[in-house]
Amino acid sequence: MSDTSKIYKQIQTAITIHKRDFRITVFGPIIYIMSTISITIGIVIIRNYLSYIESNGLYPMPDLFSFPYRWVIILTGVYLAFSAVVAIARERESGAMELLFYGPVDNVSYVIGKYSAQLTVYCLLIILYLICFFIISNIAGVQIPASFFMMMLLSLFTGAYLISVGVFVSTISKSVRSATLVFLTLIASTLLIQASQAWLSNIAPESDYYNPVLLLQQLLGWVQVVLTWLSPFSYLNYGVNEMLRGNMVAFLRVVGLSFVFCMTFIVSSIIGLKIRGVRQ
Amino acid sequence: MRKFIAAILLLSFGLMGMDTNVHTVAAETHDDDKRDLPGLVDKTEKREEFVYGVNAYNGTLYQGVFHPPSVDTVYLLADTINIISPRKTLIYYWAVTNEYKADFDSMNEDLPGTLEIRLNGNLVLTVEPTDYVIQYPEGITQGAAEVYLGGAAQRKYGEWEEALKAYRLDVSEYYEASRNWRTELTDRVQSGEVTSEDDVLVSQPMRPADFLYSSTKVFRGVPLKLPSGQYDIQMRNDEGKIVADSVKKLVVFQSDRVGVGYTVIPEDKWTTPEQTYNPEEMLYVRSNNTLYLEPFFESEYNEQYFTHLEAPQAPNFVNSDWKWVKEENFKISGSSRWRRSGDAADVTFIGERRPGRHINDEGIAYDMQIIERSMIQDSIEFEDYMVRQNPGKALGYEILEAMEGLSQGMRDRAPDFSAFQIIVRRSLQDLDVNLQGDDGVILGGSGRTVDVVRRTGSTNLFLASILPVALGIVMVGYRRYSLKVHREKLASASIENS
Repeated sequence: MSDTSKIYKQIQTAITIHKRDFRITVFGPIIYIMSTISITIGIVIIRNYLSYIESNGLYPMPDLFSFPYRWVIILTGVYLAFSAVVAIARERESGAMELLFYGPVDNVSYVIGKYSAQLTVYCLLIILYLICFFIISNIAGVQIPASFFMMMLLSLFTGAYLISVGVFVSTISKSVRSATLVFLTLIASTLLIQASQAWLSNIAPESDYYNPVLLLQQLLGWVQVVLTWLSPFSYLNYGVNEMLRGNMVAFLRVVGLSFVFCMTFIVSSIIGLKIRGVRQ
Repeated sequence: MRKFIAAILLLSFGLMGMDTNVHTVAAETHDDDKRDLPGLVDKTEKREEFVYGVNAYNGTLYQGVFHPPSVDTVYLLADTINIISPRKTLIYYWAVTNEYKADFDSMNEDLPGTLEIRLNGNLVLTVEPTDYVIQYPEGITQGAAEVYLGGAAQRKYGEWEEALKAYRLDVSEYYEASRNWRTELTDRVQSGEVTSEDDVLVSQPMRPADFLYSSTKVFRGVPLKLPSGQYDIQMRNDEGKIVADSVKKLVVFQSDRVGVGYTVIPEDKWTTPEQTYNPEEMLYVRSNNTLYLEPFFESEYNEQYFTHLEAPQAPNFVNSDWKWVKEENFKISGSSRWRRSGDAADVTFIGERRPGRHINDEGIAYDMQIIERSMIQDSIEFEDYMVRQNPGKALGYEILEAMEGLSQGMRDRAPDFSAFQIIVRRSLQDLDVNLQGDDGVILGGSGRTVDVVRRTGSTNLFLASILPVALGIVMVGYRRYSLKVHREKLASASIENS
């Protein structure tokens, strides 16, 4: 078989897997339940801001929708990455993956098909959230600044990176249980470290001169330094902050790095699947 | 699973390794050998050490700090004169503030020699200590600081001493005149010559204006004005040897951004204003509200660098952020119809245009430009305001324009604040505001958007979350319906076949 026809066949297979997974996701109820929960959490945060503005009279901040949107999109990204983990690991555990690989499916088309299905759903959800934020903007009379659209663009890349991590974890894991455990530990620890670091740095020291949480702050600070280069959540926060500062070079760097890491994890998933094999 | 456990173990070992580093970091905030540990020594034990005394410019004034041997990096602002003074002094650990203190009263020896500055290992500058004096002709925090070096330092210090003497003489004369005036007034009142309040006010002696002109003594130090960069410094004594503990890193930095911040004073609670630092930040406000925007000039610095410029012994940050630093207030221009006593008649600004330190160097006054729905509205003038407390026990106040306050008898008071007044009406759309000079140029970094937020109930907001639910119902319903139709077709086909 020539290389061109092989690639063509791989693309066809990837499209078939993509369509199948996409249909399963969009015609199932879970994605809507999850997106409703995400947007509800976002609205609660916005409601909190609006209540403050109502009582205080004013609130200076770069973008009222920035923080709620980040929460919404992080929850969505985590869910989609997790569903990729479960879908791939379950197909391996049930033997469905082995069955597929007896046919025209190979590791490249399988990984790309699975990944692109989740990414498409993610893109559609971003559009859905945009409509929701437009509705909120109209109801509350809050302007959507240009920076919001830039943040959406960035979240597309960081979300793509997060989903690729999920695909990678599932391709190298033995079972659904281990894949779930590894992925959730990874995500929970990353978010926990980031949240703890933010929380600790905001603790006002009891004394002006002694800081009882100095060691913890520094320890988490060092971990955070590492995460800043690896975590998609850190990329999102850092990229948004730098964009709001007008540092578009840093913003583009984050976009570029997210893309590079995303590609790295997809390639690693393809290689990982080949090494790990399709059997349980 | 085993691999997962192995990964956790590996992570634990990694953290244990990291913990060792963290201890090292924490130790840096104290000192690097055992004799310096606060728990092991007499808390007031003093020892002779080489230190760098530094007069570091922080964008507003000169901050006097010292760097004990435990601090390995000196931070300075770029392109401004900073003074580094190599000294031998007594230092001691002060547990109350968790830092080393210097006893300059007991020992304050100037060290002769030269300060060497290296960039990437190459010697770029050698400077000897010289006399210097730092003065604030308009008063500390009121105007620009001036540094005089060498012979000029002695001369300027002499001028300051003369000015101080003259002021003391004026004050003495004023008290003398006041005594005489009171005696004379008492006599006139007793003899019935005083008939009105004006008789008293006209003849009252004038108190001399406060003496704001401020100066340090003449000290010796090394003046440095360097471009931003990471340098190494060391002190070489007259014998050509490097002085112990004098080798340090020198970080010279500049602001990353400059702009105009605002203190936003809501009319209904003028004592609890909010600050907005970030240029292009949104001001989310309630409708039917009056705001007073008091501009100030600001610069954004690396937080780690700026904090250590002002407090060299502060712990190091692992994650350094950016920090806006408030500088001088925007003062009413000389052409204003109101001028407060003691205020310099200038308006300082920073931004994309930075021709001089004082706006009055160019004679430009600024108004606030308002843009509503892309239409330029009438500009708002910078005005002085007075706050009048309501009489009686009930709390309450009103904010008046200064001229109105004057007309209502508040003669003995200076205005409480100067600001641009924005009235946010219910019908108002979002506003873009910025400072525009009378030459038509917008002041860089002064723009803000005032976003008038609508009063809305929670129920309305949560309507948005119905969208995914509705979409879900449609999609899942369609799927079920199409499956049902498909099954029915299959069933009818199988019946037909049978």
